[in-house]
Amino acid sequence: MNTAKSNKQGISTRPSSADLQVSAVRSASRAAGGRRSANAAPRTAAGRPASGAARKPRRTTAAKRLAAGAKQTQKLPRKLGGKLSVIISARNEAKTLPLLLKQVQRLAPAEIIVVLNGCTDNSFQLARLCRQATVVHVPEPAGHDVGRSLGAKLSRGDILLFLDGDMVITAPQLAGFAAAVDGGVDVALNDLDGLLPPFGLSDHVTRSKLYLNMVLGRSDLGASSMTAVPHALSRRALEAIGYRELMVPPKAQALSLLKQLRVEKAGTVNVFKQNRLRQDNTGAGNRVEQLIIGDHAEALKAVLMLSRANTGAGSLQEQRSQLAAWRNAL
Amino acid sequence: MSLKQRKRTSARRSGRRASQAVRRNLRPQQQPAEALPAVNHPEPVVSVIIPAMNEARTIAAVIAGARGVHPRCEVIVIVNGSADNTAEIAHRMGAKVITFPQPLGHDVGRSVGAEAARGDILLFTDGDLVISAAELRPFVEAVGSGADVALNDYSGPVRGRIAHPVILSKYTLNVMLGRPDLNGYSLTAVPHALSRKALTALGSAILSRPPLAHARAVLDGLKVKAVHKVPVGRMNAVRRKEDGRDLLQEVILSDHLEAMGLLLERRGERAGYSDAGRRREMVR
Repeated sequence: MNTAKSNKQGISTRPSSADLQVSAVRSASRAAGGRRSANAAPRTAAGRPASGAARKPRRTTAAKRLAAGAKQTQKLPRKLGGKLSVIISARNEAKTLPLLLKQVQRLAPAEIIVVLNGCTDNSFQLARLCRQATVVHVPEPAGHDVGRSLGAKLSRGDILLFLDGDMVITAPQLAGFAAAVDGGVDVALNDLDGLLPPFGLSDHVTRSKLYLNMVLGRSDLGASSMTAVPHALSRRALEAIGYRELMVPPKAQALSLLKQLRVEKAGTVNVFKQNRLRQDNTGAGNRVEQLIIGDHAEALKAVLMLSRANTGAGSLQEQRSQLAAWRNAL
Repeated sequence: MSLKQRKRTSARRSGRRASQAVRRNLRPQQQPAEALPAVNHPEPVVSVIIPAMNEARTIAAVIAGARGVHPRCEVIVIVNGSADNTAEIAHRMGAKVITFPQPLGHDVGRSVGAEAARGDILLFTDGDLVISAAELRPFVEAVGSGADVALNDYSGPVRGRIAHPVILSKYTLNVMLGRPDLNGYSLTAVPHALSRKALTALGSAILSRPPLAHARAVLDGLKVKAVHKVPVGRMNAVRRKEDGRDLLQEVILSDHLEAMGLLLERRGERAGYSDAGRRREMVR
């Protein structure tokens, strides 16, 4: 069913490379791509689902757009110094993927890598319509976040922006993450703290995220996590972490912090609103929740391994009695 | 309109049934110490373990509360590093007093007390928390009817978006242990009770590091249950801090992290949680 031209060699991620069809359709002229994206912008704005319009920050952007009355005035931050690679992983996202690709093109990235796995709809065909996109197609399901890792491996840019195909995020919202990395941040995270309920009502995943950051001495990051999109990495970060580790995002985050990379919040995109509700990600004890808790366990393992190497367990008993004396002002 | 009717309206507004008698005093009455035998039972069923360090002000009331949990009860007070007359008061109240001139260290008194205890049910509380017998009894009763670890059903303040690091640690440890139903309940908090079986399984030494004991209890398959809420957070004294650093907090946090380590050792690096079909071999 897929007629991808396998013109990209050297991707031997699986022994049977017949399974993995890579279509690298890179646009010959960047300029053409740029023009296309400029045209695409207003159309998307008009046809955007109502869910987006209800949000305050977006309303302001939309209002500005109306006031300006021209498509060119859409404010995208200054041009990036480094080359931007956008990595999109998707599984059966035919509805949202084309819209997301349009927004991504407006960022004028150096490359767009779409990693599709286990798609049974026409995601592949639609992704191919984006001339700039390199489409990696894995026929069978690869599991969560494996696509990111694969995409990161294939990428060549200085700034890596990670997205999921199920969520349309506008170009101005995305630009902040790329700009943060361009400005020296190694890991630019989505800040969801303002959207969280009181701790007593929060879910297990949020608590795990809060805990991991706290253990690593970065309570200021709140529940910000590489598990959530969008987030961006510097090439330096990717090399320090290792692309394989991106499969388990909390572990990648722990490694970033342990390796003293610059990890920061870089803006808020409400992903809760758009997150597609599926059978396996709703309700307590769902499959995705279990997966992410397990990911955090792996991350904590990494933390423990490194902290044990750094500090000898030693005179704990002594510490404790000194502490007691000190607390009681003896 | 008669007075009665007006009363009824107010009851409806407050969600209280009109027929229910108004309890003026929400705090249970403290039982006078004199009413109970001020001696330990020779063959105790319940051992109440009370570590104390300079608690002369509260220790008498604490012991009085402890006495009332069971007719066959022994009270063990571990007085350590005390410059006041805590030991003397405890002795006068008929408790078994174990004295250490030097401070034992945080929660070490629990291990010492457990070592000396002879009852089948061990109730742990603290020398600075005055808790009535009525509030302590549920813990004893829970262990009496089959629980191995009866926890305080209290997580601390969780109304804000960001919880205290210790509370966050307790919640996350329980999630990782596969016991999210325990919320932030932990062996770290008193009062709690252990069965003799739990003590034998865990050993008394580990009780000095409650988060580890907590994890071990769950991992060993002991029956861990939250039984009754005693909001101890409000009773706890505010202690010293050094340049905003709370050293005790750091100890508790590192104990929790170590408890996570224990969990990962026992259940594997994902703590027993699935990978949801990740095909890791695809990326090399």
